[in-house]
Amino acid sequence: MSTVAGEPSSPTRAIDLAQLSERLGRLLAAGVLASAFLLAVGVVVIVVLAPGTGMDGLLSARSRGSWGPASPGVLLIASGIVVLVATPVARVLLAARAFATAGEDDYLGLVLAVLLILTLSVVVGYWLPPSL
Amino acid sequence: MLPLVLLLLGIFLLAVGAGVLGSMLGLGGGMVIVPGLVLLFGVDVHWAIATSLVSVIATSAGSASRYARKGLLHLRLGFFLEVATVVGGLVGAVLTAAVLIGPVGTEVLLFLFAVVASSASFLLLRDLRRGGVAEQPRDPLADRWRLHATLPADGPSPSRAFRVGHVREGLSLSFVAGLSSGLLGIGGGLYKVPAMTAVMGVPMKMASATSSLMIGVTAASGALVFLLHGEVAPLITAPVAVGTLAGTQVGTHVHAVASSRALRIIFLVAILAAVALMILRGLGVTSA
Repeated sequence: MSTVAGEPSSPTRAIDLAQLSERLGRLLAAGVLASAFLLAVGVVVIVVLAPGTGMDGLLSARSRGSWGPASPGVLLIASGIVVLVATPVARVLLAARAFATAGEDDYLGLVLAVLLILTLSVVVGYWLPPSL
Repeated sequence: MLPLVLLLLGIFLLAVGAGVLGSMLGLGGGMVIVPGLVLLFGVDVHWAIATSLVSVIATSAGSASRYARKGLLHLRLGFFLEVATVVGGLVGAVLTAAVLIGPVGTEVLLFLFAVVASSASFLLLRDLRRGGVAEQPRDPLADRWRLHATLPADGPSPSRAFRVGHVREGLSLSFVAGLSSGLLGIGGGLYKVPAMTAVMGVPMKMASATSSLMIGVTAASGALVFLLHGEVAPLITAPVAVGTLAGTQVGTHVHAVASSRALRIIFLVAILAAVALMILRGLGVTSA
């Protein structure tokens, strides 16, 4: 992405944004494909092996505590969800590496701040009481 | 009671529609998923919000990977605004997961959704009436963070350099976008796209593509809270995520060739209908 003519130019070690964009695209596509495969197979396994009844069956398995004895289908779906949620996090990590390599400390700082907040989300989600 | 297979198929089809609309407009699809799950399938609004956030990530990853290949992502602007959106996403998710619980919290969430959806309708309506992107005044913050860019050539349209302005206003709206995302399970693109186009001067195609990239990280901050807090029902999330991904593949193809005007009108009508139904649900007049 070039700058507008007459605007202050980018630093000499400017990152190759086109290349970063391409890499991010490939990473996102890979994450999406992997998660879609796990989720789709998980649904098929559940329908074939352990068909529940109606919406109550769908709601019975939650992300923590009440998953009960993990069936293969639920395990596959859980893996798919984890891969899916991890995909944008991996994309931020890739960007951090690219900005660090290019020596763009200002954008590296921004991306690391995003990573910090995402880490905080994990901590908050785990320790958050059911109600405040 | 519907058999499991029919329920899964119905949820899958709802998600396909959300994926098409979400990826075309850079909105994420949560505006369709949440009311759809609540009104059509009787899912509790908290679980619908958590499920929707995961589907927003699917929409984002699926569509942004395609836009990346076309050079439509404004990466610097995306990374810059993401700091504000993830903070908002975390705050919103904490509010929904731990404060707005119980029957009162559910009513508050339904009304909040109606308010946010109404404002989305207003913004979409304004976009329909508005022409091109206005020239922006010089903004030292945009210079400092090297946010000015060029929209790549697209068929007969030549490449076009543009100047980004009103960075502080864009950051503020991005926080609101993140907050609405974590709070209501939407992508937040309904604020991000107007923030970039109407406020900051980014061309529509680049703004919606960049919004598609950003909503994934925004939703991830909220989704991580819900996931680890135990609010994600995997058996609902799976058909929603797969359906959204399928819809995204269609939506990104249409985004490249079609004018989005007709789709915006359809989306507008759907949102207004959802608002009316959510208000009635909140008042206890209807139940799914």
